[in-house]
Amino acid sequence: MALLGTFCITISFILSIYSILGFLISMKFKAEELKISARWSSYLTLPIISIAVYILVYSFVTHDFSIKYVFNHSNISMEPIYTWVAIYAGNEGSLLYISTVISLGSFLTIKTLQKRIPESVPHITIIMMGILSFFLGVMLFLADPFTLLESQVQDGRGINPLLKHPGMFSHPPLLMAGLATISIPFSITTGMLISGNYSDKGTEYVRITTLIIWLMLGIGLLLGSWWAYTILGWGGYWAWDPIENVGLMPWLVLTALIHSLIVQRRRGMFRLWNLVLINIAFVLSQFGMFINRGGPVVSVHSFAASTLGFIFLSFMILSIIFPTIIFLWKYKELLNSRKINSFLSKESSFLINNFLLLAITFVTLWGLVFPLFSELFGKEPVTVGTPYYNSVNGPLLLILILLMSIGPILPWKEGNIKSFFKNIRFPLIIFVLCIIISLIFFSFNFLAILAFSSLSLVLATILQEWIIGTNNRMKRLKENIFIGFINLINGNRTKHGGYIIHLSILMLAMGIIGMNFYQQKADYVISKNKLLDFQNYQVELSEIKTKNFADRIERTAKFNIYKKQQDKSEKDLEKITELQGSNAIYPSFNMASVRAAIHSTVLEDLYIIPSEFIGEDKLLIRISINPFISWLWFAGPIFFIGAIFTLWPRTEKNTKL
Amino acid sequence: MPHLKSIILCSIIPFSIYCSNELNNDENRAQYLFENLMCPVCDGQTISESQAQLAKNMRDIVRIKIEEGLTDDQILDYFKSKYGTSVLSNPPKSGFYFTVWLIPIIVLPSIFIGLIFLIKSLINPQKEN
Amino acid sequence: MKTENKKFLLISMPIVLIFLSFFIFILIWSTISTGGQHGQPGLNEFFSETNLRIDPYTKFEINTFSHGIISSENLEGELLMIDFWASWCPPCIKEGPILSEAYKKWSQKGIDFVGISLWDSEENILSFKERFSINYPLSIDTNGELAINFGVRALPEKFFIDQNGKILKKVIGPVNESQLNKILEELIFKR
Repeated sequence: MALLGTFCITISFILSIYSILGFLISMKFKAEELKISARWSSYLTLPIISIAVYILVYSFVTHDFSIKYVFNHSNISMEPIYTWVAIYAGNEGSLLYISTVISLGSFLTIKTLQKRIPESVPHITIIMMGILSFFLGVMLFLADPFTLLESQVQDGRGINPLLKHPGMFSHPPLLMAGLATISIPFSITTGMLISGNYSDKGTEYVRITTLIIWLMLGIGLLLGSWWAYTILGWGGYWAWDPIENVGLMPWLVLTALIHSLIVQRRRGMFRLWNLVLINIAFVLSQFGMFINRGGPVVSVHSFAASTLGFIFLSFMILSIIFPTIIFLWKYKELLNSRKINSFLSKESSFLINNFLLLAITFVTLWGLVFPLFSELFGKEPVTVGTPYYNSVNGPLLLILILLMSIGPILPWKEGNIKSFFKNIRFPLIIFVLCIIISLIFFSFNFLAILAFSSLSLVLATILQEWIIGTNNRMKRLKENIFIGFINLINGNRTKHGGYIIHLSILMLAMGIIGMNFYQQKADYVISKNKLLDFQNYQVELSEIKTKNFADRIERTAKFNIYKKQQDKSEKDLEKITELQGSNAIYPSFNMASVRAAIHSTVLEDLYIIPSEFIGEDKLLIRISINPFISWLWFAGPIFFIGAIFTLWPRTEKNTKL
Repeated sequence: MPHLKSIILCSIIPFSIYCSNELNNDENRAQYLFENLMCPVCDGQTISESQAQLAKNMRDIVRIKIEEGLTDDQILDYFKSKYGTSVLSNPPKSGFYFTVWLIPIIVLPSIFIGLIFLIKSLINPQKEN
Repeated sequence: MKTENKKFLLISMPIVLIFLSFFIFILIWSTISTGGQHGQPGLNEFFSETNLRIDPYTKFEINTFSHGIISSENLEGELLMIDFWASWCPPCIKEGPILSEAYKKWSQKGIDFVGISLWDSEENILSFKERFSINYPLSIDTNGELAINFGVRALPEKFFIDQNGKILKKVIGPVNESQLNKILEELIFKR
């Protein structure tokens, strides 16, 4: 079986190389038949590599420990359901997964583009297959997931305990797929550029793939923070860890790209700039690959760590040099004569938006690289942590949010100040009102109030757009309010889908601001059956249980949560809920896996981490109130809906207003 | 319809409001210090997050030092003298390490000003068509 | 109009290229210097001498089980070796008989040993003491105060301190007999 797996990887490696050579030769000698065969061989990598995936998954499910990778990442006692996903728990298997995703992506892309822009397909395929063959080659020569174990064993080492969580089914595959498939829009644009047919049809496909990738990455990142929040028990959702950052940076660049692609679509501008953005996103995704697999920075979650640092670094450098050369060679074709007409236009607001997003990316990258930078200058090793990122990125994000309120109001081409003020008047009143009311009644942190109020500002502009639009329809077309609204947002899906996504970003910001400014936390030693006062709650430790499993010792603590009483009559405590948190120690990994006890409401979460069990009836807990954190998780579905709404293909003609 | 508009818009305001009771000062300080100290033996975790024994001990020591009446800076300096600069989750704001702050503070605004000039140079006062 | 675009590109491209090459240079350099892998936490499996980061005149006070208080103020012997260890740490267990033997040999020459156990229980320490018939003073560091005072990261770690309370050397990882003898000889020979 294992031999067959290696064989499959070999075959698909050969196929991808053949496809590259076939296209090169066919372009040189104008051999159409060779082109077809080369194209089909690129298609064929998908089924063959799928067989390899099937074999690896099958080996996991059937506990075939003769394969080294299976031995290293699973054991008999693990829950059967996790054996299905253990394939991407380590370096080799995740490479196989990534290759499969790239293969699938290139299959769909080539299939679609063959009909639309056949003249560029050879170039596009060559680039895609080049990337695919790199991953296949790394697997084949350096990290074969099907390497056999030399000695016979009964049981494997087991999966990293932190990976045993429902998040494992969605977060790693989405994030890896997102990072890997950035190669697709990159290959399309670069391929089109080389072939000299930089067409709008191709760009439209780029827009769609970019949106899908952006959606995958966004949801993947959010699921990751949810995972960290519930299981890892770090009491946070985002730690600005290098590995998290390398996932965030491509997402930020793609966000910028999505915005400036709108300009390209609408006005034919920024074509050169968009190409640069795609290249940056691609380089950053390769940078992420490198940091993940043997990069020189220190990170909490290096699940795929390996010694392949140099290989991935070389590929990343190649992915900088190659597009730069192509760019310098061909950029003249993308220049155009359109100009921005005014500061008060959507075009310039999109430019500023791009600048801000890239600035956040750059600052994050700088923080990530700075420890290396300071070591280069012979300084003491240094850490760049959360406080740096928060204090540098915070203001940038705030400006970005303010821009979110101004941008949608501005017209294309040229706006005049009068109508701009007319449109922003109402939201501004709300904004000022928010600040005043919060200052009078709840004078806390001015920054927090400013941040919250800017959210209201953005919300007000979006709602104003919707209300005025619906209103117009109701008056002109005599539609009722619901139909009017639905027709309105259906009329321009890109725009209104964008608004829905903006709403989800507001919710996200809500959670982040709440957590940053109003989180309260403290450590307490709590003993059994004694009440602990914390904010508006009373916490009682009701039970401690110890359970021994084959791979772990799990200690569970149960809590009763009561509402805090104003007068201290203990008899009529109002019970809110019962919670349970656990702390499992995995001796073979020398690792603890903590599950927090969480009572979640719209306004705030009560969050209890059982950090240390002291004897039989005492427990050290980290207890915190996390304001608005659940908004972070609600933002996910809204984000998804917004993105899908934007992507949904048009079936009928909609009347535009 | 302005009615509807103002009703909806006013309902936004409450979201900007959140109130909670401040915890006692020492506990706040301890938590703040936990987040500003890295666990020396864990990859990229602060002692606030880490489950490592050493991190637990460091938390205890932070509490002891707070009780002894040391200031935040003194406590951070103590750990820095024992484990080096990398134990601080933030580079010090002095000397060479200041560059980590300097680049965002200087470079970004200057690029932004450059961008404004770029837009300005791109602006074509005559309307198309 | 095109000339403006060109001018912009001509100015920005070199800057971008310089930045990029510097960025790549840092990455290559750091990947070479770390060998593509960063250190593993927990135990020091390999022996090595390292630079002392802490103040060489760090003050300390060790409350031992059997020999009272040993502090930087009242050092008696010519040299003191502080060993941070634990009864649960495999390299330390391997080291047990080596240190026990070495103490018999070196204590006559005025060298004192003291073992400070971390994240351990008194019971385990005493049974360890019996198992390897350890005669030098042992101590337990309950809240890590001593370990943090010496900047200990992982076990085992050793510090060699002269009569004046100056730390002469720091060694991490388990030692074998000849390594330990060599270090002690060197330190005694120096004075």
